Amino acid sequence: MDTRPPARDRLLPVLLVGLSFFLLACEVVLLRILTYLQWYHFAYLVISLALLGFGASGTLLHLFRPFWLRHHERIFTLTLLLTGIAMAAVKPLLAAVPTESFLVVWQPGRLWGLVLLCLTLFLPFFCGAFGLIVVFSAAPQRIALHYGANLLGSGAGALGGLLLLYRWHPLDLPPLLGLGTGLLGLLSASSAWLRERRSSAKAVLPVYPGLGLAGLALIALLGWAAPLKPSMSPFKAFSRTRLMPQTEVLLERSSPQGVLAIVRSPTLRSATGLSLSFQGEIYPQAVAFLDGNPLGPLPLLDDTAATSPLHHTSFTIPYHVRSFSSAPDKPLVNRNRKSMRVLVLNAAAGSEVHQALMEGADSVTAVVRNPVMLQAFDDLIEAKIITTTVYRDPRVRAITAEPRSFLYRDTGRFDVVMIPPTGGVVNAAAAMQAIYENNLLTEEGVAAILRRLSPEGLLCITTWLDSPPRRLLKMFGLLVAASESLESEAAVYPGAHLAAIGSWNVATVILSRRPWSPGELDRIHQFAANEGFDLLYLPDGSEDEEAITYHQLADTSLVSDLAILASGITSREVLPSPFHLTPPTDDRPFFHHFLTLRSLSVMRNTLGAAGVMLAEWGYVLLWITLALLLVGGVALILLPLGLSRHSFTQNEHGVRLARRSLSLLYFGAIGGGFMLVEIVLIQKLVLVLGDPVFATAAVIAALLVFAGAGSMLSERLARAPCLLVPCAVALIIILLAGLFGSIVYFASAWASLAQGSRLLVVIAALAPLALVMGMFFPTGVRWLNAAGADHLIPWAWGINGFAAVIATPVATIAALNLGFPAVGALGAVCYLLAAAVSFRWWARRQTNQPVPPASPIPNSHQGK
Amino acid sequence: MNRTIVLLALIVWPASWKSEAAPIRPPEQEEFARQRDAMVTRQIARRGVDDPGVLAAMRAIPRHRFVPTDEVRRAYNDSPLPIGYGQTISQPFIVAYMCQMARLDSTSRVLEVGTGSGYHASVMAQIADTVYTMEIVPQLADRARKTIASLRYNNIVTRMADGYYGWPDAAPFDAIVVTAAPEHIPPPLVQQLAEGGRMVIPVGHPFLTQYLVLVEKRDGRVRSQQLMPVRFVPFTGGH
Repeated sequence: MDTRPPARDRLLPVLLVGLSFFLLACEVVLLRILTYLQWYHFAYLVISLALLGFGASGTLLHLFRPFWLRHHERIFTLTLLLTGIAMAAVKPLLAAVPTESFLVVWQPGRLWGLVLLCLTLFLPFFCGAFGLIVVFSAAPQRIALHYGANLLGSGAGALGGLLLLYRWHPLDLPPLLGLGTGLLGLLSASSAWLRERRSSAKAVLPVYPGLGLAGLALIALLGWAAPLKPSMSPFKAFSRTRLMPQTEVLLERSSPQGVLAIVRSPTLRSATGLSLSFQGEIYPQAVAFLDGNPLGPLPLLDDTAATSPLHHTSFTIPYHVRSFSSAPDKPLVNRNRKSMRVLVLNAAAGSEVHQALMEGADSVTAVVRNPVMLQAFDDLIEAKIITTTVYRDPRVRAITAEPRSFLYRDTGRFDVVMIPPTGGVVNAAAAMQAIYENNLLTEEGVAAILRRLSPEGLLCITTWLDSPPRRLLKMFGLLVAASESLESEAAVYPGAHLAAIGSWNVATVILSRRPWSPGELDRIHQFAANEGFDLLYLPDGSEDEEAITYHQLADTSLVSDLAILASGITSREVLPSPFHLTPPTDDRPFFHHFLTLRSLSVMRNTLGAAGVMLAEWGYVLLWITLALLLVGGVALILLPLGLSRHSFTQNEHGVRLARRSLSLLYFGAIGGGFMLVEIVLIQKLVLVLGDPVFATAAVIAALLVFAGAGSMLSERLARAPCLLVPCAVALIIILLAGLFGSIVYFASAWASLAQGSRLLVVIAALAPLALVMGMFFPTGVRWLNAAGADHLIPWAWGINGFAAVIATPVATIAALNLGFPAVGALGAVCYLLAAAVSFRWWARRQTNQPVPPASPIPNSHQGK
Repeated sequence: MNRTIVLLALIVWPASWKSEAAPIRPPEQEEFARQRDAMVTRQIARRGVDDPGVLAAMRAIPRHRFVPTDEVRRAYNDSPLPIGYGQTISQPFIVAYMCQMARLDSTSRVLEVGTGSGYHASVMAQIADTVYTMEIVPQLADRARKTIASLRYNNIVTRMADGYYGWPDAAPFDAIVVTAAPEHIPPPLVQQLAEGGRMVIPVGHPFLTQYLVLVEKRDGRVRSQQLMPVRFVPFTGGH
């Protein structure tokens, strides 16, 4: 006798793995596409809304449950095909939908474009998630296997989506993902037809395979034959540059970090921080763009200090003030030094590396964040488009790493550490960057830099001068705080180590490891006078007399505010600025976040209502995202579920409402809690794993896979249900606290390990936590089932999905205002709430009815 | 599938509606004149621009002639408007404020870098002797040239070229107005500024709050002054 499961049951897990893989990969790819076409924060907003499709699928199932479950096999096959079609349709639909959603600030009438955009991206998730919940609900006896397959596919999809981006341009991927999903649909349809043919004596027409083929044809038509192609926002620098005469895109490379393009045009010339006194020629340069935003220029290697504009920028000051080289034309401070070692963090296209070499550096270590950058240069050389690159200079050591990770790993000392304006502060200073974490510009990050400085070393950072002033003040306060944290001589009077100069649009701050000597202060005066820069801060107090000679600021208090900050970090409290100027720490690593309630009114008075948005639109959009998610969630999930007739016709009155309230609390808490904990883990583990993209993929994949294992394990532990949830919550809190307490230590201790070894250690550390976190959903559904409330299972799925989606902006807002430990604590509180509900639940069940045998239940990974 | 068709229909409908802008009739001209007057009173004079020449020019120039047809009904709104190719026509107040800061009079020779729609050049031409305006995007340059010609302004000289190098043949200029934000001030523009001349320029990052900077050349030395926070389209070409 054949004991194997039927063919259909053997195929279903494979189909679930595939569907989950393509859905997660699609999420990753769509986020990339929208970031490429528009800006990250609109991408974040749109994808968040589209992910409501997961929750809304539960609503649809809940509303017509008997019908869906009666035809579940056909419905599942159909959802596979529809998901594939919806994925393939994304490309032409994106081309047709107006993408300039940001103009909604001035023209609210453009809101319909934003709504259409969200709807376009909603469909694949809605269809795919509906297929999953149909299978889970229809075959509860095989839930362990199906749910495991779902999580395995999702984990693989998170990684697979990123890997696909190395090979294909993001815009080419939706049709491919659609084709993959469509093939799954064809496989499912063919399997159904074969099964039907075997069981029937009559000839069976291949209707299902025919439908599958038609679906594939439609996917191919939409994905490859449709004439509509999405185009990048014309307001992005890359789009505008391409309009210029004789512009040539030398190279374009896709990666999970973004689409890198190197462009040559006679109109491209870069000279950030250039002195207005410079009257020489600035020659056209090739410029690197990432996702359409300029990263920095490729240096002109035949430039010399005598002719180069780089020699006349504000951030060349370290080389003028304290020369470490033996070049005879330099005002040497230390002629006995044998070499000048420079570290350039966020080196981008290499302009500052070239500047260091030009100024006499004997060795330059360049930390490049994007690995594709160096590969792109090699490709350009191989294609004979350029002859060489600064990174091939024998004096240059190019390292691909996240700067903070490099600082943990490297033990070398440097005479100058440069955070360039092109690759670091200036680009990142855009208003849209407010909610980006920056692990380098934190007290701990700057302290790590200072530890790498030689005894006479200098740290040089350049930032925009904004109005009202805030970036320079925050940067200055950060350097003061970091110096104090080192408990060196700087703690006595940090201002003795600092200097700041300003041009018409940027300011450069330099921090010396030792206090300035009188000779060095003279040279700062001399450099500023020669180049026409203003002295914004000097410890000799001369800035009061000489400041603002050349560039008059709208806010005259900037100079006195810097002097206040220089006297010590505690003096920060007396600054009258309405902005958030507290130096960022690893717990709140948001350098570019400035808005407070008070500053909102200041900005509104200065710039009007739209000005607030433009001042820091990343933060404002975050709130808008949350508001839209709440509206969308209520409209698509809560309201339909709450008003559905199923709930009002079953079970006794009173118990029904209590059960629904408890399940709302429980499934909402675990959905939100899972996401909050996941976000905190990603943020913390970036320090250990280095690359943010890699860390995100690793954490998500590890959590999903081990949570799946935890879900399966929960069935074995179901014999002691009253203890399961409280014990799991206690374990989560202990494990979270342990991870939090040890992560900074391990980030440093494991820095010397190879990337693969660090990944293994991280997975091992996450495994127990994820195992426990995976037990909650199945346990909750098991209780629903035992209480005869299995009609609430789709409700649970919907609530869980809604809470997970809403938790993302909530976590970011909480992190910005309270810090990541507070987000972790909020996650723990969510699980505590779940534990409290479980007690209540258990108590009610004990008094009301006998416990039926536990049955397997559908589960969801949507709360990931 | 039906859903997709409905979706496509929804997308196509507003697009076709946009392209069907009706021609402007005489009564509408009166309405535009009324809107222009309101614009000057409420958006410009009330915010501190008091140069009579500038206010008169803002009242005279038909801004709606410089915007795309689908933006005509918003032409006198207190906001910038997209004109295509990633560029905008500046907010009316900004145009007026830049003109006031440039201190134009009937003898001024002005260089404008970034013609865009041609509106700013037309306003300045109402006040100054000659306006030299440059645009690098061919499509914009061509459209602006035609608009300016149709309005018969004869003291505006247009050129399609990279504004980075300025207009050496016509230099020096009493005022230079840069209508898009550069990352650095091109040295040729500084050189072409007359002694005592004023350059008005927006500073900052694309899509960030920016501020206007006044650059003055006195005794051969260049000095700058932050004026006020504004918003602009970034300088095309120069990074």
